[in-house]
Amino acid sequence: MSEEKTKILEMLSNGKITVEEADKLLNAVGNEKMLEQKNVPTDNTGSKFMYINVEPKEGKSSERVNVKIPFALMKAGLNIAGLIPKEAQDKINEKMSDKGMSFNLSDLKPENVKELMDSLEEFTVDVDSDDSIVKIFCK
Amino acid sequence: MLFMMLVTKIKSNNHNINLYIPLILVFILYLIIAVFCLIAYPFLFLNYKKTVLPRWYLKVFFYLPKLISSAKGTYVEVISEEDNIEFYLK
Repeated sequence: MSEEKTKILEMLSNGKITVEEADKLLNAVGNEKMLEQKNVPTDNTGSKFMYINVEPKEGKSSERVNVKIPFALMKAGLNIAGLIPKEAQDKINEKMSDKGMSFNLSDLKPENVKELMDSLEEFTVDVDSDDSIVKIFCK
Repeated sequence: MLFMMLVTKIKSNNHNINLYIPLILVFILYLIIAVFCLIAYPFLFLNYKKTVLPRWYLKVFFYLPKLISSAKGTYVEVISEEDNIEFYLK
C-alpha cells in the first residue's frame, strides 16, 4: 500500500475526514498513480487539465479511455465565441432560446471564462454503470 | 506551435505504427494560406455588409495558431482488447 493511501486511512480512522472524503482522496490518488504508470506526457508549467477516464469493470470487455485536455484549449475555444459576428450570435441565441436555453453568447466575456475555468477546478463527475466507471475531474 | 510535435501511436496484434508529425510543417502550410488571406482581407471591406461571414472565417483562421498552441498537452488514449491507440501533442 502506498504512503498516501496509508495516510488517508489513518486520517479516516482518527475521524479527521469522513468516509466520502476518504473515498474522493483515494480515487484522486488512484487516478494520479494510474496516469504516472502510463507515462502520460506532462509539462512542468503548472498548467491545469481536465481528465476523462473510462475504466471497464472487471470481467467486462469494454474499452479503456484516458483523455487529458488542457484548460488553455478550452479557454481558447471559448474565446472564439467572442469572434463570432453579431448577426451569427443573434441567430445562435435565438435557436438556443427556442430549445429552452436562454444563453447569450455575447455575455461570454474573458473575465467570465476565467471564472468558469477557476470553478472547474472543483468539478468532478463519477458515473458508475454496469459496464464501466467514468470519472471526469480537473486538476 | 513551431516546436510542437503531434504523436500518434497505434498498436494492434499485427501492426505497430508510430507517427511523429512536427507541427512546423502545418505552420508552413498555414503561412502560405495566411499570405493569400492577408492579400484578400482588404478587398472584403469593399462590400462590407455582404462579407460579414468571410471576414469572420478569416478572423478564426488567424486565431488558429493560438488554438493549436493551447492544445499542447492534449492526450487521448483508447485501449481495447485488440488495439491500443495513443494520440498526444507535446
